[in-house]
Amino acid sequence: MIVASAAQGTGEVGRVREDARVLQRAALDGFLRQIERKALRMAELATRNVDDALELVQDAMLGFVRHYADKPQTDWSPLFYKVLDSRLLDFHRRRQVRNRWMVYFSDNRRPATVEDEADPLQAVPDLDGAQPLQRLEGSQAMADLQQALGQLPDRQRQAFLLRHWEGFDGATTARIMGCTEGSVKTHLSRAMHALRQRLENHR
Amino acid sequence: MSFEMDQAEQARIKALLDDSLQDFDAATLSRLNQARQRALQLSERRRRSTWRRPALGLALASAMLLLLVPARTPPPPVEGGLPETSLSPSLSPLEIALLSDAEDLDLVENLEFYAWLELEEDWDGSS
Repeated sequence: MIVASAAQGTGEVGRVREDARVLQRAALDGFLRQIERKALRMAELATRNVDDALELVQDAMLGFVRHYADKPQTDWSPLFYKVLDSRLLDFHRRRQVRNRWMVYFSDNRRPATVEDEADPLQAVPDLDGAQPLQRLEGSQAMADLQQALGQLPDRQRQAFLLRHWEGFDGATTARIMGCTEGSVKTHLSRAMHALRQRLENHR
Repeated sequence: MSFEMDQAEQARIKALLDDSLQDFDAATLSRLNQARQRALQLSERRRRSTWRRPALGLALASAMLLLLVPARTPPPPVEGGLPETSLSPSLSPLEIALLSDAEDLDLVENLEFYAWLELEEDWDGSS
């Protein structure tokens, strides 16, 4: 009697576990499907190389599963982008180091940097009343927008995409990027400035 | 000039970027699918390993018990032949304990994977 009851209990636990496993897998699959293309586009804009972008997105997916898949599903989106943002930063750090070594061995030119301080666009004057972003139309507009986004400094582009494409609020964007809300605002205003300038022909 | 985005601008940009998600070719989408499947596999393995950790602890505790109990209680004298309680002379108590739970067989077979998983977690935690 007791043995039969215990066996029934064990079977019940097994079924509950199996149900939980199926539900968790379906939820995770749905979430990853939902964000994978946006993540790939973000990574591609950052790396300008689809192979590097795919590798980064895969790393981000694995890192997200390892660390955050057990968190509430409502938190998954910002947590995933936090992992992706971290992977993008690592990628750019590695590339900067590689570029420094290449420059060191090739000539004495100063290596390129992605720091905002070195962004030449900061010196570009404003365009009074211009709203070129509002007038973007057609496939050429899409190509121009992607090119303009690709040319933004990394932190500016990331702030812009997280805030205006993914729709996170300022505080969440700041948490994802590991900076203050003030920094996010600065990145955004510089990004808007640069994008309007670069998309001037769509006015 | 305002650096805040008005709603029309924001909607236009979002629509363009959303449209751009349809531009990926089949090969890229296939690789993206593979990446997702790997992440799902890792999730499944982690889930299984989480459930098996307590089982491993239980198995090791059982093995310790099997090792200690016979040492403290002398076996009854046997007149001829092997004692009736002997399972198999070729299996150690640890092996018996591990094999007594079918689920733990998977743990034994995939010990290298779980060791790798632990290392991965340690590495991630320290980075």
